[in-house]
Amino acid sequence: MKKNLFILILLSPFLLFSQNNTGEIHGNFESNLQSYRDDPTIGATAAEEVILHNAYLNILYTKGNFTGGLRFESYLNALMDYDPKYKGNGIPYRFATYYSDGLEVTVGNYYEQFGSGIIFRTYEDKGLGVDNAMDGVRLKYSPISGLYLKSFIGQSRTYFEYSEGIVRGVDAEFNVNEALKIEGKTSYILGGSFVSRFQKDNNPKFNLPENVGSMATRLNIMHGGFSYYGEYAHKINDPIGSFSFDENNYATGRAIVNNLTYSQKGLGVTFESHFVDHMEFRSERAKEKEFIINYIPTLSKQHTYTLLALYPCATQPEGEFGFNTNIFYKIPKNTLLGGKYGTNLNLNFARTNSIEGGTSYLDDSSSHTSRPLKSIFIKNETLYFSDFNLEINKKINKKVKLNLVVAKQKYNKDILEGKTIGEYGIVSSTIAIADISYKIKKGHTIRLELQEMISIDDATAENHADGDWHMILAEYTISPNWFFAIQDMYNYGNYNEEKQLHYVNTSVGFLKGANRFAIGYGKKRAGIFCVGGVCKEVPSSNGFSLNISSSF
Amino acid sequence: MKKIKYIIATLFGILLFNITSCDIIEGPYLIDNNTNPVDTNTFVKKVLIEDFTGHRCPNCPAAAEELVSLQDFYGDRVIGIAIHPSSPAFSTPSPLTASSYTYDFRTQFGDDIDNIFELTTVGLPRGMVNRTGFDTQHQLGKDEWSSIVQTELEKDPIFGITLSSNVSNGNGTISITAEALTNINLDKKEKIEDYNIVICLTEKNIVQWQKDNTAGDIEDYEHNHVLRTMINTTFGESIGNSFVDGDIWEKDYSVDITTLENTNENHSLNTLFMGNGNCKEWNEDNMEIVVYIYNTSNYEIVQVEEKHLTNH
Repeated sequence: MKKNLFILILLSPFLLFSQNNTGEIHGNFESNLQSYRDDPTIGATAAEEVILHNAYLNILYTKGNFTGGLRFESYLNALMDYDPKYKGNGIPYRFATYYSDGLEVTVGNYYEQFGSGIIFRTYEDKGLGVDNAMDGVRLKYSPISGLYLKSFIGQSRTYFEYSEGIVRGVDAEFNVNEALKIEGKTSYILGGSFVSRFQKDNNPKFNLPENVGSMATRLNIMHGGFSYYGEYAHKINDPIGSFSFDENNYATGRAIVNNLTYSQKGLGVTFESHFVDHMEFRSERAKEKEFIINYIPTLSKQHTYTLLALYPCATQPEGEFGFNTNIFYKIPKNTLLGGKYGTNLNLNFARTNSIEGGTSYLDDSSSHTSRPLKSIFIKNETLYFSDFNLEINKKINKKVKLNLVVAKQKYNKDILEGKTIGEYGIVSSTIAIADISYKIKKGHTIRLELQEMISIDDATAENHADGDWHMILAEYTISPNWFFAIQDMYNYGNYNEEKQLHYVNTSVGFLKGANRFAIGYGKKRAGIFCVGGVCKEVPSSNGFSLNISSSF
Repeated sequence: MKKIKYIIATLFGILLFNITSCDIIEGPYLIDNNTNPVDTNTFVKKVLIEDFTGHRCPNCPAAAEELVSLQDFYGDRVIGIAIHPSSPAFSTPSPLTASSYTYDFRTQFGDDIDNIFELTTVGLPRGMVNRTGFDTQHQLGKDEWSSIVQTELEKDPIFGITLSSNVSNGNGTISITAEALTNINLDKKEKIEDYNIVICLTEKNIVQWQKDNTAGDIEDYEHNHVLRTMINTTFGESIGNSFVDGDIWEKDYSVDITTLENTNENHSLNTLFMGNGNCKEWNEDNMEIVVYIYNTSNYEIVQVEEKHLTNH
């Protein structure tokens, strides 16, 4: 009843103002339907329901300084790559916000991030099935120009539940140049944040902290084409509350982030690095990864080509050191290598590995503190992931565009997928991609992707990974209404001959105005899907899919 | 200057907030290694942990260890059952010709329970503590068990269970008495919950293969509390719905180990995926009777008792 009343109050502005045509309503809808049938060759299983369906509808109402909104979600039942705890219908997201004289008040659900998210970030990603929206109250206030304050209190969402832990936080950002009206080449932004989680301790065996705090300071300096961002985070003891002797880790968590970028016309260089140690922060102490409320971005290039993203890097918040370097260079036009339109190059090198001595640990009988400076000189640390790649993007003429990528990747399958150490070891692969698009005539474009992966298994490992792959994709677009695509992934190099299979997918899409329809049919392989270092396992499937999205 | 004051005040406020809302714990972290001895003359609330596990599940030994730690701490007030549900990845046995993982721990009973509570769908190891929180909060990771065990143990028992057994050489009778320790449902006119009683047999010290995420493949792992059978079906039978304090329900059950073993063998050979029938050689001297009473409206287990099968 309480819930219904709340929704009614939220909706009341729609009812009140719908007459005199003030305010605006916007929304969007998405429906994903998939059928599943048995396919023992790829390990796909049929759904008892035959079809599964996820749908969302967002409604947003804005009038002047007021915004209210809600999201209806329907999982009848959830698609197989979703957690089955997403079940049934509901309005798990609803909020009201208003802004007045520098103060912004939000009640209900909200997403928030402090700094780069190391101590706190709530967000939603439908692809990953992540939605840890907060439910509570948030205030944002700017008392003077250049000083921005945020504070919140709430409980975080996981599936259709809210955490038992209550999370509170404050954040202050101080833009030096703006506040002190300094004009100059160099600008500074300072920030500090603090987040604390309360959860009762009813463990009679171990002494557990009821209020777990996490704090961070950050600095951003910009000078001409240079930009530096640094953040240091610290989390106090946060044991999981187990009864087993060696499972409660009382060590402090730490993270150090250093990012440097430089850009000028035709050239860009970025260098990102971080050291992370025991920084997993959950909304309840004993819960699992789905309850994480902070975010550590991955240090690797986000690939879109299938075979480049076959073995993606997943961030290890409990301990990793790594860096990611990018050099972007445009060979100017009308030169030998640049041709008529110029040539874009992107060289990328990323690597992450374990930290010195492993994750910091503290209990009554033992202690270890990992040293960040030692981690820089990689000695005995385990490699988690490395990716060295070059991308060349070139427009040949008015009709033909070309994108070429070559990459060498190393992927520690045991660590990144949570397998037993020694099961798969480190998979090394070499990947080459050619993406050619050809404009046949006005509005008609054909695009061809050829991908190849040569993969070498770890000789010391117990099991074999999937081995070599071919992939081919052909896409035909008739803008603005139609697209047709067919792709085949062929695992020709699988060690197990029975698994040397083709995974063929076809899709047809129709777009008109604000509506988009797509129908697909095919086989999907079991794999890992990641967005920004957050990953989920996707089961294999065989069936039809229908996706509809629309907005108003 | 005024701005600086603002900023200092803000930063000072944040600092104050930091200090007041952090609990930095100084060692020793262990505060108590054992609860006080329990008066065994009267009935006390006990709690059942159903640990869903598998011999090929590398993270499962850590959950078994958590169960041991809870039992070390709470003594016989925490009772465990290890259920090996059908899971292609974690519990399927190898063919008999293989050198490892040939034992079939699965039972029809474990699968029946998993069909209702769906623990395999969220991944193993998982467990239920007195089956509380059905049907959204019952699938618990091992680190969530302790908090619920403590909450459950703080409740007053509403039933007391007494067990006796005269089983030897694979045959005999188990006698069960359930006594209401308070008035139950006397004033309720509608939606009266039934209470069902369930009788299980478990076995400890089964030495077989187990996968472990640090030790790899362990040849001589000791499997404990393994669910072998359920005497009066998976969901048991009713003992009634309303009770006066002191009401007693009694029943005897005959047990024939060979017949029960054969039932599992048949199920393994004829029904289970890759079942090889290698599920026998029960050792009655290592077996326990576990009896629990649950509320049929929400599946919550309100009392549980354990007794050795052959130590009369």
